Amino acid sequence: MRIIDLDQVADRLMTSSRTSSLTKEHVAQLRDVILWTAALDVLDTLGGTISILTIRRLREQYGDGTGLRRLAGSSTVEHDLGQRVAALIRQALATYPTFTLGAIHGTRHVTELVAMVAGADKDYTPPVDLLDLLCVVAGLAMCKPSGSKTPDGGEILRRVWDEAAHAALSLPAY
Amino acid sequence: MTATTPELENPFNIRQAIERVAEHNEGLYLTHEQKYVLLDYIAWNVTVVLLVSLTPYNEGRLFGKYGDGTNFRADGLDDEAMAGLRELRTFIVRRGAQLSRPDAEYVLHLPPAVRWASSLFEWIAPSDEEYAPLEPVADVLAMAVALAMIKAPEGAALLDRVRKHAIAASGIVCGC
Repeated sequence: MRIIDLDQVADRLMTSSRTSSLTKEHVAQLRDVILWTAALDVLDTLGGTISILTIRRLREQYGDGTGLRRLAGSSTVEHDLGQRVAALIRQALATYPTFTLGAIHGTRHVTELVAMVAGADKDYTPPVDLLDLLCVVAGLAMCKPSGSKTPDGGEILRRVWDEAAHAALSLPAY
Repeated sequence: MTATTPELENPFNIRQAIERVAEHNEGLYLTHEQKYVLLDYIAWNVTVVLLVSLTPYNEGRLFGKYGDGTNFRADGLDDEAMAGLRELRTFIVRRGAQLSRPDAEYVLHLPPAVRWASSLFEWIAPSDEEYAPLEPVADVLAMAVALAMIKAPEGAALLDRVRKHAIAASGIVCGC
């Protein structure tokens, strides 16, 4: 996983909301950050024209993922991650004929990831657009066969998921 | 006594299926494995109801080609059955593309459809975390659910109806 300093993000969240300790909402945002980072990390690892352009746009538009929860429900087109996801799907369908099946298998992996990142917090659910993005990138990964020097998509997901679960362990239990 | 429709008293003809699966047992006691076979039967019947309601697929053709679902686990899916299910998957993908413009809409419905399908397995096997249907069957179910999700609002009503039937049927299985 690309290095994310959760402490730094947590400090920023507390400063901006003028609180001295992390609220449940803050921790949910930190879980979003972990999932967001995992999604970008998988795209990064997959490589190719889809991911290079997409990652650049996603990073420019949504930053580190802390704002995704606030944006959820926003109807502003330029803040609609769902549209980006739909565009990514169109590209994926053109690139990978088996993408539909990949999306199904990828979604099952994402369900496991979300459960790991949520930990003991049974109330945690990621913003729906983030969830869709994760399912699409996991679907893309499931379409990737292993190359002579590169792992297959399943191995990539396992690595990123392990790192995300490890990062979530450092969060306070809510 | 609460009046129920005949359909809900015996959803998916589950009693008949139970008797057939348990015919070599004494009484109607079901083994663990037989319960899994019947849960597959329920999941497959949900798939068939959705496909028949939402696509031009013919019920007799589905049952004729793949059986009623009780054979999936008992015989394992042999090469022919696997090839058949792959064909079915291809058909559903194409049908999904026809129903949704642009195609992205269908794929976008797959994640919630997979989650709905996973929930179905929890609803029909609430006390058994080990139960999972065979993967090609689960794939086809998820795709059929996605087709239903595209077709709002009648798809949502259909999903709600089959969910109730599936839960009622699994209650009968779990009571044996």
